[in-house]
Amino acid sequence: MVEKQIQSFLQSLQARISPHQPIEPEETLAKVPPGVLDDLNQHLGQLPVPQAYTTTIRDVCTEALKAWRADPETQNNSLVVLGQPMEAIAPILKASFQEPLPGCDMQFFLSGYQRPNHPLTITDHLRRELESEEAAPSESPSAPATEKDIKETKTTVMVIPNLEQCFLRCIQGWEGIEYLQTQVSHDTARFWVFGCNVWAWAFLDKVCQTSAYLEKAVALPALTSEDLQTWLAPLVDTALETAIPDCSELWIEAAADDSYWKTLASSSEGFRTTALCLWQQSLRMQATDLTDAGALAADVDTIRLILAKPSLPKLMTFEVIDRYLLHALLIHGEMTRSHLALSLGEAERTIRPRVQVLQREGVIRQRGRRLSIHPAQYPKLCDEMQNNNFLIGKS
Amino acid sequence: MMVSPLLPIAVVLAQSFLSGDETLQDLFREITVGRTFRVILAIAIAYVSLVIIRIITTAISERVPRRFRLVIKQSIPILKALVLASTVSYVLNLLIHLTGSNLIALTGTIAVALGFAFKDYISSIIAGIVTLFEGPFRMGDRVQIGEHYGEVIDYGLRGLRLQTPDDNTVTIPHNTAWTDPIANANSGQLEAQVVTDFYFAHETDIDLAVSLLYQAAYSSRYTQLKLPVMVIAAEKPWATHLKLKAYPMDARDEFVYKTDLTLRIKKACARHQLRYPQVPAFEESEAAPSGNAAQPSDS
Repeated sequence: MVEKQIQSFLQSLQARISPHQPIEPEETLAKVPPGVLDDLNQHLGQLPVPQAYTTTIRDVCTEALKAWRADPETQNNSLVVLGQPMEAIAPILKASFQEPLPGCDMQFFLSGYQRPNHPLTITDHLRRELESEEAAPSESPSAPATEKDIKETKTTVMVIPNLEQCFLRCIQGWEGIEYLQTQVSHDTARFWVFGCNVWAWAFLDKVCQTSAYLEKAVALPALTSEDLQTWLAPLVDTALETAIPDCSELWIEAAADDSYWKTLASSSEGFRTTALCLWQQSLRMQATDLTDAGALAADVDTIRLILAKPSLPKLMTFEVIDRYLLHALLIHGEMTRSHLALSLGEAERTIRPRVQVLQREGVIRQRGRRLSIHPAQYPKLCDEMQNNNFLIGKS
Repeated sequence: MMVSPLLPIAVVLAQSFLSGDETLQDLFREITVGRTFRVILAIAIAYVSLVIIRIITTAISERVPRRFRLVIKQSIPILKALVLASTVSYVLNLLIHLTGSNLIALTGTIAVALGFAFKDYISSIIAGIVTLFEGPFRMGDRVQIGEHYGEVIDYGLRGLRLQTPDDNTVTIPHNTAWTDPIANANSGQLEAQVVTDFYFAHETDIDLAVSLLYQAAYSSRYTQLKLPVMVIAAEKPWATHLKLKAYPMDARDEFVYKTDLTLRIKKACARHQLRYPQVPAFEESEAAPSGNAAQPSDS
């Protein structure tokens, strides 16, 4: 373990020290126009879940299930998959269990569940959702005695991927979590898999001792430079279709050497969404392919993108309220402005100006009505929160 | 200026310490223009250094992340002491022949001279030096000395300065801090326990009230979740008294934290229709802090 950490540290150090040689001198390269990035986003959305994630989840889940099946009296019937706040865990769990685990009937619940407007109704929602299911056998399965028993016993696995959407940090706001804890400890006939962000997990463990009920937890692994290279390979050195008028294709040139991927892995700390943002931000175009206004030149047929050295964006200087606001967003993953205000104990009009500033500075982003932390800012935000005495989420 | 009337006494005392051949002319160096200029320059540099130390450390400590704030603030007295000690030694060396016998003579003389003239001042300085090493409080701590409560924002030669919650600055001589009891809320840590008192009618569902108090603490943005939260109950003739003990992440947030807890609790109590004690009018002034609602009070 220590050896692995030292190796990883040396790799990141080497990646920082060894000067990454871009294909072209920086002055001949320019930022990619937003329209081209939007077009690229279509392709990014089709990327599969990294194999490191699915393999880890399946392996750990299989082990936990095996242990529980062998000894249901003492082994815990749950597993929590921990991810970062900006990571959507539902698609990862879906991809991991696309092929059901051997001898299991996988049931997905609350995949797209979002906190209701009135957070005190969360428990009712959960109760309605779970009780609508066919009543599970009330007793725990008997421990298998023969190989035939193991093969024939079918286990129901309940998958709830968004635990952080089942609570709000306010008085009586985490009764939904307490309800789920009770369900898991009473319903020993089924195995439960939860997805949760590490910050929410740290918070819930403090306020309702969640880890006492949901004992087993596994964090999504940090992606290595090789993982990232393999994951993004379908987009690199391939002609990609583009919807941009007068352009036939989009072509992303491969990085000159491995140091690019090492820098990407160390800067993003192996977080998938952060790495993706940094990768996107590191894309450049030949300045000659752009007009003076930064738009695509008329005669460009193939849009060629080049990978420049990836780096984390600078963090703005925060006001005191900003940190509380960001901490709330880190704990809750995605939340509306009204929920954010409720959680902070402030009026919505009080927090609105700071939300605007943080959005403008690129620290938070808004999708529909929901606010969340910008993945590119996440690694530095973690340090900022730790240095300011906040309870932070650790994998 | 105050020393001049005492100079004859000092001279007599010094001469009594000096052996046969040594005279006072040997004790003091010759005062030249150059030497005077160097003394003035040293004092000016020391003064400017002290001002710069105060300004820079204060500015930096308020800009760095919270966990480094107190570390920087706590270095101020040490840095100031270093500047003062080196300036005093340099100036003494410029003006006086610092031999062993001269030092004995001089310390005796100064002790008598200053003992008369600046008794309280010297007492404060010595108390300041002792306090610096004993450490009953440090810069940035929130302390109660006598009737005054606030954050230690400066540690000078003669006294310390407290910033009170009302934003007043109180200067307390070190010798007062030496003799008076000192209550330190955070002892060099960022967190300080905040106790908020609530009163409920006897017929109230006390389990629900306790549960709401815990949840109020855990849901407050200011709460340091790494530290424990506790509710203590006590019976009063007119109410059940619940004390909510929790830590804000920054001791400076003490009063906004109390406000936040109180507002959260009051909203939750209204939702659950929890009953507050009905305090008879004649008891109001002495029994309950005020009114008949669940009230916070400083503890």
